[in-house]
Amino acid sequence: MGGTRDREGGQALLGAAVGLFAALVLVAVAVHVAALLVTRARASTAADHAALAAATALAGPGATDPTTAASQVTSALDARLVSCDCATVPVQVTVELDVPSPLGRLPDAITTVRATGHAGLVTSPGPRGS
Amino acid sequence: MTPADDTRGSRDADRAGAGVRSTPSPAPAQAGVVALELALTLPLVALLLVAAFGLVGLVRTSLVAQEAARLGARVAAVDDDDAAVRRAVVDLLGPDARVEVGPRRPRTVVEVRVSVPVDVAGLHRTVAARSAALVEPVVD
Repeated sequence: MGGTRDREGGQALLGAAVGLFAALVLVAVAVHVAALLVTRARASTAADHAALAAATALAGPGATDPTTAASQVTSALDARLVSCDCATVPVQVTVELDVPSPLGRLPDAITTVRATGHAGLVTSPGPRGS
Repeated sequence: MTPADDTRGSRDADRAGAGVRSTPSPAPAQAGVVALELALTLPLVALLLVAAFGLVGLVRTSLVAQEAARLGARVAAVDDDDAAVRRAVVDLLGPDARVEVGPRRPRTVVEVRVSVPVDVAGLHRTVAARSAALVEPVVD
């Protein structure tokens, strides 16, 4: 009889441990997904602003090196400039950002966010479609 | 099958049915354990729910703050006036938002930092975001 009670107690403890572990994993995954979402928004901003900087540097008054301009913006946002297809407008810039994760070391596929931005020039002085 | 077998079979079925119907109710001690387990588990589940809602609110505010910083940096790149940057950020984040605009000269990178207070599950936190853009040269 005592043995049965002990066995039941052990099962309850095991169930509680499994439940607690599952809840912890769930919380960690939720926090990682949240960080992923925010990093994605930051990467998208970095790519767009780097592309605008490159297009301005390339085609604006007093032209300068577009890759340097894109690099300045990505550095200011703690992002890495992966590629800058900036020889002609429209330019295409790709940047990368790391996701701060509570789960420790994970594969790059889920800890790195990549975004691409495009920018060109509107050459027609009139409204679009005219 | 003989009539005797039939009678015995129906008697067995009755006994089995009676067994199902008359499930003994848990002993008072066992019922107490169940109540205790429920009392311990319910606050944990409630805590988990509150934390989940808090996280969703925090992420939402972070995303809005990030968008406000992006917009602020874009405005700062094309407009000399800091008030225009503040207006753009406050329109998105609300009047509690704080905005800091870095120094800017043409063809340098201007940085815009925004922060907003937020309540996460009863705790006062500040969500911050920043963005940067190349200041565009003035075209005459």
